[in-house]
Amino acid sequence: MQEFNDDLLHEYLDATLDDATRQAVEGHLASSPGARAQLAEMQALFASLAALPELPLTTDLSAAVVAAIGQGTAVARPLPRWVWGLLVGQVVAAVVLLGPRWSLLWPWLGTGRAIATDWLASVQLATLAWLGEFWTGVTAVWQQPNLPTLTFDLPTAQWALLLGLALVVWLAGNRLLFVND
Amino acid sequence: MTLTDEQMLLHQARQGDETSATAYGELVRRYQTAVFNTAYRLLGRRVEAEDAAQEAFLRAYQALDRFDVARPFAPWIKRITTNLCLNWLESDRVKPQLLAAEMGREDRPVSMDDWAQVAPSPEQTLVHEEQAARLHQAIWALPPHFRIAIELRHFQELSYEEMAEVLERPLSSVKSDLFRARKMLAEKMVET
Repeated sequence: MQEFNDDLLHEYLDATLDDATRQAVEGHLASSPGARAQLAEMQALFASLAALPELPLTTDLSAAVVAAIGQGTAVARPLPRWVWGLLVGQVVAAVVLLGPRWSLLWPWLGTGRAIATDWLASVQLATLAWLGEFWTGVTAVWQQPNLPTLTFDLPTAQWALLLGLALVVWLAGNRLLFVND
Repeated sequence: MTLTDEQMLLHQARQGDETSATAYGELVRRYQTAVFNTAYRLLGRRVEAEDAAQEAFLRAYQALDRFDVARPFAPWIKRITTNLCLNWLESDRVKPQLLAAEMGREDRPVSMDDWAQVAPSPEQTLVHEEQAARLHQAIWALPPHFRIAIELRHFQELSYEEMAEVLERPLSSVKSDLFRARKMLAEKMVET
């Protein structure tokens, strides 16, 4: 057995030692008055903690909790099983219907992918161009005493992208605010 | 399989309809004293403990769909309360009450009368109340992590491994906290 120490005494009291270590600790306790005194002190503490009475609650909390629930602290309801069944059914039906037609769909998917790639490339180029113009405008503001009017001439898709990004930032900010109430 | 009364209440509370709040209210009534005492042992103030208990019940309600109703509700709600109190203690929302632990909304000092309702006879109560008050004071004088260790092991009866899981800390660190907390408590009880 490792040398007797306080940790072993605690683990002995918590009944987490293996048989051999437990017997060795008991042997040490039998021969050491100091260890027995430590044991008695800890046993007294354990008994006091076990006997600590519960303080009565003078206020019924249930009314406040129920009221808060009524004000919109809604429980996240588990999805009923039929919803999962419906989802699986939809996937199976899609595979059954589309599977035999895959050879017809593949070229169409390829075309779609090419269109998406082109669109993303154009968005990227336009965004970089816009950032360049924006930077030029900002530096112009620094250099001129009168504030110039900045004009943005962006395609609709890019405006949508920018607004979408702004919305995400706004929502994420709100989320952080509410979490930290 | 026959559902227990508690399981029926939990099922009902998860339905999300108008009877849910009523069913959950019944669960709150059953466990509010235990939950309040968990918070009280950790925070050391009655008012904050009541707030924490209420908040814990609301958090549990929001997470009810993730709770396995086959398991008992009490250990789960106590763990939610413990984690909530730990967060409050770490964020300094609740200041430690080391020397002037307070009981009651009037911010009066600890009184033996506060335990008068829970002890059996006048002669026995005097000893019990004094000891309870001293022990509460000693627990509140511990650093938060030591207090949590005592709470989880002695009042919620978790194993070392379960404590490490709840606190998301290494087993050796949790054991070290528990053993040191006990030693400090024993010393304080001898001193007073």
